[in-house]
Amino acid sequence: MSIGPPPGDLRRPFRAGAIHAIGAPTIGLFVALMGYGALTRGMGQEFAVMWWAVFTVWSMPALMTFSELAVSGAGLWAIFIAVLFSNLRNIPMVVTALPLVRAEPGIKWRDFVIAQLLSPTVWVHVLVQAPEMPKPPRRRFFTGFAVVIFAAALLGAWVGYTGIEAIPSAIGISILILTPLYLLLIMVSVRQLSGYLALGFGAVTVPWLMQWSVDWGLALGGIGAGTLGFILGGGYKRRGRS
Amino acid sequence: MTGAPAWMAPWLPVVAAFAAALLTRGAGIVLSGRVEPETPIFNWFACVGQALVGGLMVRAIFLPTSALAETPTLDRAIAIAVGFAVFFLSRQRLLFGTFAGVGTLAALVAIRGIG
Repeated sequence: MSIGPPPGDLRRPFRAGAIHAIGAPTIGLFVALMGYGALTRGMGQEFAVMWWAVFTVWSMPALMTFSELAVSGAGLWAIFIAVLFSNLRNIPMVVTALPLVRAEPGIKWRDFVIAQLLSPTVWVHVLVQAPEMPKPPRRRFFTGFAVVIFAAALLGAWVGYTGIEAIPSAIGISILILTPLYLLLIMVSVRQLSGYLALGFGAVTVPWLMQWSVDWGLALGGIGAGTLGFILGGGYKRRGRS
Repeated sequence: MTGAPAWMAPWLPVVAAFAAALLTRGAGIVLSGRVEPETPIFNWFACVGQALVGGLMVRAIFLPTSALAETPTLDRAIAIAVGFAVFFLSRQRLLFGTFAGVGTLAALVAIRGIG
């Protein structure tokens, strides 16, 4: 699979998207959630609670925050605020993904489906591949793509919670690098100077600031680095995906 | 934690977390209705998204809280370098680059006898 027009028969876009997701995207999320499932078992969280949290929250930073706080007996407001902040990255993802998959103007109920299923993996694929496709099949294509990834993640969480000991440790450890490497490789394929600069600045400032504060560091680092890349890369010029 | 029945206690945090997640995604939906692709504001949101996700991925590799922390930073850096090199040498084939990186780290982990 290389970056470019998505394969498959776009006359059946949901199916084409579902098939397109099979491979590194599904393996990556399966493994990532397998790690989360194993971790929550170690923390002593109930399986059903963990699994429903994955189903409803569906964002790794927010899930990690949720589990840490829930098992330590934090109050509901503390959980709400912490998850809200660790989920802030969803706002720019949803804002940029939806206009690319909408075939008609205005907000529709189907927007909630895509927004809820959106993960960094899906978002990066939308950003890179949607402009290469005709508009009408985009929504169904990426819904199919996202549903398969979501199902793989739910399965991964279950496998991780119930059977992590059966996986050889060398493979279990090294496969944890799959998703971050995969997403970085996709992001360097976005040929935009402002995007490159934002990625480079974010790669340095976000991890650094998150050592100071996980939630504030994520928000401030992301907005600061993104804005700097936007300005220096000329993203303010109205010339398309600069 | 609250005056709710005991059976509800483990589920209330899930509801609180879901409400927070829904709020951010809902805010994104409302804002997206006012943002057209190929405009400066769209580019700004895309840049912020790139910075956030890129930063989180670099953090997951080099400052991991997962079992990846058991591997030396150098090994992770070598694996990433191999992944990027194979990706560009193979004319940007994602699977080649990704699995070259994972395979390199698995080999280094096995050689060092970690885990």
